Amino acid sequence: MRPLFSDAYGRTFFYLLNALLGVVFLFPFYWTVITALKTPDHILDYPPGFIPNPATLENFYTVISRQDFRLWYFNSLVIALATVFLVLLVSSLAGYGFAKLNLRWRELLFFSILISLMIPHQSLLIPLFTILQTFGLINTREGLTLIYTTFSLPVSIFLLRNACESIPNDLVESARIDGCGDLRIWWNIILPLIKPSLATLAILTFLGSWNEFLVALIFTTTDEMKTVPVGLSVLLGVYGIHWENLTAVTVLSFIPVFVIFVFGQRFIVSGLTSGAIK
Amino acid sequence: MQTTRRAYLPAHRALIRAVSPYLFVMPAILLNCVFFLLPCLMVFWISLHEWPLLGPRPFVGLKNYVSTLNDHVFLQAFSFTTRYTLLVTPSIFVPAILLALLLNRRVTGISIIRAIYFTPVIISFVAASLMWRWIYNDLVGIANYLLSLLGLPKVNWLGEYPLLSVIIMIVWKTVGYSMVLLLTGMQSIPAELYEAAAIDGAGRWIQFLRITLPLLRPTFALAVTISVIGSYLGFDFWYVLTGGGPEYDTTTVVLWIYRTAFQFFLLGKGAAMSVFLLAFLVVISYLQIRFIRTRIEY
Repeated sequence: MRPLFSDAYGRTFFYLLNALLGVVFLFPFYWTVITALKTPDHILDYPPGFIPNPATLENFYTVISRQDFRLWYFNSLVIALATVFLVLLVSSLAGYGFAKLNLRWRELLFFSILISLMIPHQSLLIPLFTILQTFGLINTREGLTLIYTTFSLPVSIFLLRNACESIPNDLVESARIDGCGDLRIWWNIILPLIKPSLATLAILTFLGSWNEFLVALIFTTTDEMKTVPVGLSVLLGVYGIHWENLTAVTVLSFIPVFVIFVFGQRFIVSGLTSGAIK
Repeated sequence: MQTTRRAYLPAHRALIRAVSPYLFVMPAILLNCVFFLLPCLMVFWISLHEWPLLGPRPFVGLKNYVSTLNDHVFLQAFSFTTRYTLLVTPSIFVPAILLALLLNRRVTGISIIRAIYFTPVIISFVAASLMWRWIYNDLVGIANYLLSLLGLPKVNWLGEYPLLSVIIMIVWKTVGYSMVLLLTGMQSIPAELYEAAAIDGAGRWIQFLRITLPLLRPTFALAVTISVIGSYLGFDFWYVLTGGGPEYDTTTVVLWIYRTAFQFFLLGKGAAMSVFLLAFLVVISYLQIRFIRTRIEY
């Protein structure tokens, strides 16, 4: 179908319309950032100022100087990176296994992982709490990492199984005839060939872990084990109407996400849709 | 000595050959068993017990289910969550399909334009909710200031119109995701179909109704499924934006399960509620998958 607004006037209209909508979509970000740059005595100005005058970075210093906030940031980073590592390791091994190796009950085993997509994980929080308690993993970074890893297995194994299946069998077989064991084939042949899928998966997993709230809220019980999203909800109570500080922490919580978005945009969009279309 | 060694080695090798495939899938299977399959079974087990955080856990049969069905907040939460889902889904999909139609073209800057609509998707729901709490602030919030520019009175957004406020925020947050899904679906429709239709004299509107909509149906159903389930299970934004209030007005099923289990520490009753939630959503996603799988002919 010929796109809408494709003549010369239509084109101008197309860009104007998108400029207008773009402003609407980005406005909440703008508003958050300029609030974080205002001095405390201008926060409650009415009508509100659209440009911070005077502008200050003091709110950022205030929140960064909080030891608990730095700990939450550290926890979120460690958990997200550990989850990325575990997910890539576990699901590339399994993806190779399901795609290329001789497994009895292959489809049954695969299905036992894929079924997780049908079950709302929110309904498993209570038994998970009991299980983590048994293993002494309540209120630990390891506990959260293991849960995030498990919950992202169905999509990630599905993705990597597909990626591995597109590798020709001849390549794997000839390496085997040359005397390569399965582990060396996985490391030397499979992993280099599925790099784009691994990159997509790494980015999606990082974002998912960095942004997760409910699991972290329930399974962390002390202040020093919380993650950034849980910390944000805590600070909402602490700072009350000090929106200059609240918006400053919100902006800081975006930073890794936006860095990834700028550098990995094509992976994000392709990954989110391929993860969804099963 | 030599012969026994020779006989032993191949058997040893054969064993490795046979076992090694299972070692590759084992970490995944193991994690899945401990943190997914086991909880799936345990949720039923726990729901049949009185299960406090500490102390004895007596078997109580179906008592938790009975008390769940007599819990008026739970029932209200169920109907509220359903109402919210029914309202928010079209609120996301009408703009999503319009945006997808608008952006389904190759022009200068198109990837930047698409990225702009996608930006809210990648941030956390907690951060988005905080941003909008500030926008909705009833005294000095920018939303009320914009209303006043239109000559309208100030509104207590989250207090008086919590459902509307949440829906506006959620549309902003998630429309980009549905738009990208629909866009992928549209781009997989062969261009020849449109060319042939144009030659046969079909106008733009007819092409949309007869080609785009029917062929987009599987993608559309998929995007709706994801959105419906996501809306039903939504937690973060209720927790941060409304806290389930005023009173219990915006308490959703997951929020109430959270409060029952982890604030009142009635884990058994929370498990019974979880079983209801699980059963309900499995039925819904089963129905929707059947709908997606239905063949289309063209």
